[in-house]
Amino acid sequence: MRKTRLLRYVTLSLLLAIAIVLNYLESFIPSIGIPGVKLGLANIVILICLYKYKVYEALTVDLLRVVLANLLKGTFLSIAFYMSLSGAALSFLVMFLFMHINKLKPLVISVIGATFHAIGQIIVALIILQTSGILLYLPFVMLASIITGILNGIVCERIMNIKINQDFKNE
Amino acid sequence: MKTYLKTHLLDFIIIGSLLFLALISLIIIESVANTKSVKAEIYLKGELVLTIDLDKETTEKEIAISDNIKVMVKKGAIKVVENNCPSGFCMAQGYSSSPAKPIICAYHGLYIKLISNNSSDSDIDVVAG
Repeated sequence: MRKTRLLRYVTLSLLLAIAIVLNYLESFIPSIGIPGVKLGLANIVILICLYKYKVYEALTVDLLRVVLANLLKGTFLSIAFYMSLSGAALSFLVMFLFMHINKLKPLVISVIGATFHAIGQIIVALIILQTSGILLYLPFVMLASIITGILNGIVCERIMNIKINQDFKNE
Repeated sequence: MKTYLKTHLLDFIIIGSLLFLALISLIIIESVANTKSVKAEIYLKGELVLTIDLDKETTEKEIAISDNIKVMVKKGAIKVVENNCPSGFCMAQGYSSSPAKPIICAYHGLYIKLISNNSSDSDIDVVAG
């Protein structure tokens, strides 16, 4: 029992580390087409956590990922941090709800998560700038989110089908 | 072993609906994207700081908006050339000449609104065409 709990926390810590590294590395990948659009690779880890771990554990990994990645990039408590936090929180909430309302496959949850991450960020930008002009970006960002969400979802499904990860959900 | 690769009809419906919504909005925005801008209103933290008549510009000209932000204007277009924000997305956007493509920097609260002859006072009227 104690060994299982230890293994669980070690695995969660490793997943958090992977999410931070992916988040940091993708900031070096130039945006294609729309400035500011990222691949959202860290969402693969969050999705795996949502499916394999308890919800509060997945949420902890998600929030810690945002805080630590922003500390690493030197943007902690800046506007970029609040946009990232709101996007992550909204996307997590919506992914969690859709996961439990309907048994959708990870690819769809990934697309929904990516889309609502963008929507969450646009909402914060809307509050900060207090101009509806920012909404003009929404369709571009939404389209990019659907594409990146599909790519991340495919990777996530492939990883989850590998029989190497212990399922901690019901332990 | 639990498989996550099985696809259901609902999966297609959800992705299809999101895609449809994004594409329809994109088509509407692109339909007004060809409208040329005649004026640029520059807002900093919600306050209008400068209005530039883009129609009157004949050569490329650099204008300082604040200590950290500089814009470059030419006939019918405007771009951010200097900004000390960490991301620099506004600079990466390059010249914008359409009311459907405003320039935004959330870090400094910068918003460059482009206005055409057909634009009304409302911000999102350009979306509706």
